[in-house]
Amino acid sequence: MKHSASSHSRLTLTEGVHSKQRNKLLLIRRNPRILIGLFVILGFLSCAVFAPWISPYDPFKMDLLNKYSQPSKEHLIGTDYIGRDILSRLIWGTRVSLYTSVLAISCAAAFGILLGVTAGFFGGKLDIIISRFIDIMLALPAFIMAIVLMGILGRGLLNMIIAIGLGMLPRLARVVRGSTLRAKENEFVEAARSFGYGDWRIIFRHIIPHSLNPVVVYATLLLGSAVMIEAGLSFLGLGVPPPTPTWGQMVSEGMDVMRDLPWISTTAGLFIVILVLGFNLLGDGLRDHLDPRLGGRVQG
Amino acid sequence: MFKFLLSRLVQVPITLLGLVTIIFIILRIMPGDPVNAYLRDMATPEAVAEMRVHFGLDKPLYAQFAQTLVGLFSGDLGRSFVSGRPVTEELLAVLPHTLALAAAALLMSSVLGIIAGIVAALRINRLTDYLVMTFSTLGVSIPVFWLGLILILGFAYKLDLFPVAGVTAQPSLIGQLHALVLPATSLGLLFMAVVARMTRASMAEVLELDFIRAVRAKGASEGLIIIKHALRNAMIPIVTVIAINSGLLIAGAVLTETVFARPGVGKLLVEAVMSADFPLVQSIVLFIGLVYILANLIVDILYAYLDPRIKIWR
Repeated sequence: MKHSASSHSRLTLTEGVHSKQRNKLLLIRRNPRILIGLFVILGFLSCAVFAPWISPYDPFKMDLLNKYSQPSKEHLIGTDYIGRDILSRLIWGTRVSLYTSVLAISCAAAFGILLGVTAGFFGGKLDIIISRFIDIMLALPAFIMAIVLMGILGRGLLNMIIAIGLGMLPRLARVVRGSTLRAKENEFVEAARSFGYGDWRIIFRHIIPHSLNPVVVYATLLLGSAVMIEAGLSFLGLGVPPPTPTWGQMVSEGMDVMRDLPWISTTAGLFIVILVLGFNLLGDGLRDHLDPRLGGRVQG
Repeated sequence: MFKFLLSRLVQVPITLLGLVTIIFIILRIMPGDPVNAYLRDMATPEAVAEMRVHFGLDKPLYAQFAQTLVGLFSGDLGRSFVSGRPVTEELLAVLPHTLALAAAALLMSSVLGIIAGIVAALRINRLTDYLVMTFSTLGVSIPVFWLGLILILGFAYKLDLFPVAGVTAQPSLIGQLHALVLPATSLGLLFMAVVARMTRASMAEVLELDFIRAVRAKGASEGLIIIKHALRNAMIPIVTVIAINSGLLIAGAVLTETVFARPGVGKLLVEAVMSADFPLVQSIVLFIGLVYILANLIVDILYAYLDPRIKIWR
């Protein structure tokens, strides 16, 4: 008797899991943007990981006799001003874009969650101070902040992650604060409190898991912004220093010869557009799926 | 409502004060010494000491901070390391170019974005709507500087319809406006996409409301319904999105001015950062912050105007 009851409950449990998975698949099918976005991002991710194996040439190898060559069978998108293969440099450029954007947003999200949850959960003076701080930081566009910070810190990968992350931090913290305020009203928080759980246990076990959806959506959209900021900084000559290939710098290098060799800037820019589009499609899709309340609020 | 506006007005100097403090900390305490950063190889002890005295950087930090604050209100923000001219003068010299660019981009993208959004909302989930939304998603994914280059390639090099660059070379007003078309388009597209998306969402929501049916039953023309009743009620989120994203315009101006070789605040900022001209960087950043804070204040006032339920002068 006992045995049959437990097997019965196991049965319904697995059924539940199955129908949940089917629901998820259905949602993705009904919302193809998530799938397209993931597809694009995975494509670029494999470019970044397998760059040494899939790029036809060494991205740093100069060939001064063969500079500014036209697209050909040997060099599909031609060569640049010192004869480096452009396609190879584009493939390697994926690394900087993905690396900076993902790391900058991850750091910004970690600190943003901490700040936002603290402000929203504890309220009072702490909330006033943190919210004021967020407001002040928001008075500067993330890109302007990044330009100034790069000027001070100097060019480099780590500095760029800091510069972009700091600009994104207040934007994420604001969203987290808002969703914490909503999550705090739930009855399970009161229940957890009645068990005698401490503040931080409630925050990490109940508040954060329940306010994560808008953060995930917003962070995904900000990944697109981060790629754009990284490309903009590199374009201005404030990004990762040469000879490391970056897309923004390649657009800038092609600018001088735009009239005669337009494919250099054009292809480098297309890579940026497609990656940003991938993040935006994924973010939009996730938003419709997870948090319809966010509406059309894009970027900062 | 009056109280609300007053409290918002009081917040402006507080936020500004905070901004000054943060910028001061970032520029002065974090990196080390601005004079060394500027002089680089030529930083002999005598040269550094002389320059410190000359630019008032020999005083203690709190005195410099106080001086910055006083300067902010009296309009004297110090002198540029590079040119030696007052920073305010440098800023005001290029400001009209940036204002013209931003105003043109803002006007064009708001009008076109709102129209596109309305059209999409009226044809929701049909082909037109689908096209507008696809355009909008694409629009927010295209970097400003790359769009500028593509426009130059197509409309200046290939079709020869617009000049490649330079407002300075254009003597007449018409010529200057003509030279403004490509930069304003490349700066405005992203903004237009954002506005179109918000307008569509907001209008679609309002058009479902009961009072629209009531107005329609009254026999009002479709145009009147859309403009006077629906759009006015849908305007609040649209105005918000315009204000929130005004930072995008400022940030985009930096790149647009670089691509089109236009003089302007953004180009000045990049040059100042590149040459470690810290008084200039500090004042440009403060100026940008001030513009952004004021833009948000204007929105609060607009709310009251747009929503008849909010009374200002009570």
